[in-house]
Amino acid sequence: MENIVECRNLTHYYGDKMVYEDLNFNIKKGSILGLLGKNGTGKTTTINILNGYLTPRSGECIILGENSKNLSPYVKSQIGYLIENHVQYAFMNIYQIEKFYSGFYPNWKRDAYYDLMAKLKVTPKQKISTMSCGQRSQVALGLILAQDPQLLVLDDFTMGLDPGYRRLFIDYLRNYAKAEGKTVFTTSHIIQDMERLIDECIVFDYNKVLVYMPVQEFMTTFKQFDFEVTNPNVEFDKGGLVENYEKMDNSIELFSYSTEEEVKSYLASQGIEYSNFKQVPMTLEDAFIGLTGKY
Amino acid sequence: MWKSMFYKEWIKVRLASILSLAVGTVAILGIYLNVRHTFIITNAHEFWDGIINQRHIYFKLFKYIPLGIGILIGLSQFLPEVKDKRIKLTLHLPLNEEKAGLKMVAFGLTCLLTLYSILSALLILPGRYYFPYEVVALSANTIIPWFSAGLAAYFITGLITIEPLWKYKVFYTLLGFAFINLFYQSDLAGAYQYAWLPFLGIISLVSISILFSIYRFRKGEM
Repeated sequence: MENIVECRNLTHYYGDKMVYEDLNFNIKKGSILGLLGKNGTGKTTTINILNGYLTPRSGECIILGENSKNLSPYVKSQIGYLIENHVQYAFMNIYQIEKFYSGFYPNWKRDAYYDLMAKLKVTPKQKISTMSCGQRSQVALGLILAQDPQLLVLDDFTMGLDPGYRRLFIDYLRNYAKAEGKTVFTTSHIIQDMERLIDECIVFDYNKVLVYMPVQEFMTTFKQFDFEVTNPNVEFDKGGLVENYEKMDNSIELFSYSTEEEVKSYLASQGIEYSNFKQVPMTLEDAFIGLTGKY
Repeated sequence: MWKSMFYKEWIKVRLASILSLAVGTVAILGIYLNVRHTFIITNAHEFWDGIINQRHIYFKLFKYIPLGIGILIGLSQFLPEVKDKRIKLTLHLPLNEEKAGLKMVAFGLTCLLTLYSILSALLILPGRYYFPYEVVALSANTIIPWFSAGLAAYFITGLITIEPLWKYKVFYTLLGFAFINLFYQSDLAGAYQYAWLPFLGIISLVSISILFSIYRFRKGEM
């Protein structure tokens, strides 16, 4: 399948602080890739590199066949970009902002924008700066839908949205992307609801990529096992079978890609006495926290 | 695309433009009320002697108004762009980034030249009622550096506002202050008669300096 985005060996530092080294990922045409990570792990840095606002120390991103450092006006017209916090020209109103953007895009879909705006309880003359965060998110989304780009790049679009607007945004976006064959690259540090949206995920931790695989594969292979240990001072070595673990007194939550039998064998081989062993079903958010830790 | 770009810029600066025009007009009205008052009620002879023989400027009240307008238009145009890093939206438009920046500057320049033309006409033309041609011509020569300072202030305000790093902002501010100060060195009418052309040359170079800030923003200096 054709790749809309190809990022090769991306390395970036802020001064001496490494963000990541040799990051590689592709986004297939028609797929929705979620870049998940805690604050400060490099999500917005990646978006900035992708949009040409930041030159990586080394490596490159190819978007629709062009290096992101020098995107042509045509390729930029094929990228719908939603900035963190749904930033738009807040000094304009709904009517003015549509009039402004429509002049730049020959295939502008005015109806797509106004259909979405009709659902908001705002007047056409109301300035965007006076709208709620949820309403602003819909304006930003409506503008992207009207632009009708091939690739949608959404930077932490869930930020500031209440559960209703978050769900509305995600459902509207997924239906649109799947119906129109659009490719979506989104970042988020709020994992709730992302399960409903993304096909593939990359999970960032500080300086490294923990996961890069289809969400379904991640959710079936990554598991949580809960049990109680006799010795509360027990410690586990991370990196082998144990991806991560959380301990509270005698209770252990252990996260692993291994099967239940493999984990039990591992515990036995380490001489760890345990009881009440069970595999616990996880949401994507549980899996994310399990993988990256609570701190 | 020019039309759309100008539309956005107009929304940003329209209030500042109207305010500038209003303040400039009120100041000019004040200047001519004062001239009329001097001619009719106080010492017309002394006033006339000051203008003809000592090259006094009868419209000194207007001196810093073009400068203020340049800064105000610059701020109203570029501050909304840097708030929440909205410049990213502008640079993401399907345009060459440099062209996008220059179109913004072209609009600001057009707006300023329009305001300055109106205010110049309001300031100079009524002078013909009170003064001979030579005095009016000298007045026109006198206000050129003030308007030039306004243009320079506009470009430098854009450069400083778009600049992503504070240390550069401070440096440009000091540099800009020193440069603009050159336009206000003399209080004699027509003092810059032979100097404003080189100044305009420097200003036209400053006019594209915003591209440097945009380039640095795109390199990731945020």
